Amino acid sequence: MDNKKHIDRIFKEKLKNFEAVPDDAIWENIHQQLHEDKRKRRIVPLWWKVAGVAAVLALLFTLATKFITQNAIDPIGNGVNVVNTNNDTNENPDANGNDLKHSLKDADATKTANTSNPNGVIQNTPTEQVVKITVGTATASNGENRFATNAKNENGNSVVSKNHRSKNQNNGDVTISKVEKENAVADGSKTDMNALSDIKTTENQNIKNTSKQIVNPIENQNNVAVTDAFEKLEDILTKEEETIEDAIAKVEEANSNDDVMEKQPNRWNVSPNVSPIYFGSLGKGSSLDEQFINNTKEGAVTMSYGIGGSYAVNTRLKIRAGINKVAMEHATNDVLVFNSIDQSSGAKGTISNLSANANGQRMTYLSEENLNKDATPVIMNSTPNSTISQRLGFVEIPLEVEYALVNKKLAVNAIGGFSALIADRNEIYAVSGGQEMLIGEANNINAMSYSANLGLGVNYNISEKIKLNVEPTFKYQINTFSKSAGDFRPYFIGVYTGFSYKF
Amino acid sequence: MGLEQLIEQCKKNDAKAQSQIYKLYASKLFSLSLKYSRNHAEAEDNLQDAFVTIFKKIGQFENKGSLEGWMKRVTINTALQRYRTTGVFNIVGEEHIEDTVVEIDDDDLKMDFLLKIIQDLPDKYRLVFNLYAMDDYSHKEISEMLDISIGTSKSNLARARQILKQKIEDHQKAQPKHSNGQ
Repeated sequence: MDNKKHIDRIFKEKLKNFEAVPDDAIWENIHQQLHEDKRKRRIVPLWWKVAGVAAVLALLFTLATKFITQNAIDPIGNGVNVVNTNNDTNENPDANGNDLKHSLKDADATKTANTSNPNGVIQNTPTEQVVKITVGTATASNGENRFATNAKNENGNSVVSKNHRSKNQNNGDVTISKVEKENAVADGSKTDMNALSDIKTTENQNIKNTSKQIVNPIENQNNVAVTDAFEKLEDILTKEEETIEDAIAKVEEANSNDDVMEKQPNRWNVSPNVSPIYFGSLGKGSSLDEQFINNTKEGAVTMSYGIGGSYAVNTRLKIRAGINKVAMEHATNDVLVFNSIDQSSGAKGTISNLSANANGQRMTYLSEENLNKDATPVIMNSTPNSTISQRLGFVEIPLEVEYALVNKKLAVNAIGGFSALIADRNEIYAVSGGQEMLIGEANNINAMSYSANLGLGVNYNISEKIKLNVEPTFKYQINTFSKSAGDFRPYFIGVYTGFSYKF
Repeated sequence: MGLEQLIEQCKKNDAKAQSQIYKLYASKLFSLSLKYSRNHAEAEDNLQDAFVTIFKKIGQFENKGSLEGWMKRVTINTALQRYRTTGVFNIVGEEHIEDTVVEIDDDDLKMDFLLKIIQDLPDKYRLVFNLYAMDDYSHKEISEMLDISIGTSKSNLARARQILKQKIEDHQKAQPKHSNGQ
């Protein structure tokens, strides 16, 4: 019976020195979780930067467009009289009656003399006040309005302070449009207030910059009012920014949730692909000779094949590169090709961008478009039309980014990037009645050229590792041809199809 | 490198220091996890989650108490959290069992066997038994940790003891030659 012990004691004693060694994989997992997080945190700011750049570009573009349009529509009076502008608004006082011109009127009452300045510098020179508003004009290139205000107040009543105090009493919207009004005045253009209200959001940035540029030390009560007004403006703007930031934060959260749900340790993909290629030109022109500008042209369907690899920066963004072999074929129809006994027709009979071989040199090439059939020998009219077929081959090295718009089993991606094209085939054929003759090669193909690529990819996940891809892609060629005739702007379209294997 | 230095390095998310801390304490915390879990796999999950929490929250550890004690608390809390979310404690109207002294023969009971019968206990009994009998928490603390009444804690403990006793006795009966060993 001495052996009887309390059960708690038995367990405690027996298990006191119990230690079990966990599997090594556990440390691996812990390590991965701790340091993968770190990597994720790095991605977020990167994404912020990308989003930020995109937002800034969109903003500048909108601004530039607005200003360019306005300048185009409105006759620009350099040095529009500020007083007049304010008098215009005088006829439309806002609900509170705290309009810009009221304060200006007050200023008038203090015998302020307003002088307009063709350089956009407005100076109010009252007897005892010195109020200087210096305004930089917006430039179309960056669409940025700069607005610096120096307010030096000696009798304690400045136009600027009044303006802003009265604005301060209005709601935020009105306030913003007022400041826009000022900016517009600064531009020296006659401004439609409603139009400006439309671009309020984009202008906010300017106003904020404006507020920040107030650097003069604040010396008296009224300037404090100015500061208050600006602070309130900033508050309003900050609120708006916060909501934008919130939205971005939500999107990011959603993204990071995706990350958690789809932990992808496999970031690398390899994807062989094959695509039919259609080669064409956006404008009417010819790569061969100016006589063929008006000829009908046909892009033959050729093939591209290659292999690519991609790296997933995160679940949505991939960077990819690869190597493709691309063939292109472009046919110029309605060409008369005949053995030239002499060049008696008087019309131009050669192709300027052709380095003809022995066969090619014997021939004369005439565009039927340029011939007056009544004036040409009968033999010419009866000669069957030929086609000049230009066949090019390139080694294409694409460098693209792929962003997942829809990230499901059936995924949709936007693809953008560029390719380097290294010419490796250059042949020109004359094709007539099913017979082809190599007549030479083009002398205007650059050994190295580029294309800007834009595509839409649809991926279907067959399994975790294997995806089926279909990517219609438009590639606009840049400097493939060193010279061309007419408006020859070559491009090629491919529907890149293949599968990708994740490893 | 001293422990304090290691902790400082861990606060900077230094992988080497984390690895050292892990090596020092993994087996202790794993055995703890094993006792609080249903099985080996769950214990591994618990250990992993606990260490991730430990390294993420190590900034909150002040060098007042022992690191081991703090890590143990995190590990236990991680285990409790697991059951808190599955709601095993939300049992109402359970009959309260009076605590009686449960004594058994201190036979050559194997560690593995004891661990096994702890793991086989229903969750609520296992957790209370571990907290009270093995890790010296009071019923009051347990009631707060598990959000149950002190009475429930006591009756769960009593029930756990009864089950364990029964299992040990059954085990001893099945192996009579060991029952009067020595």
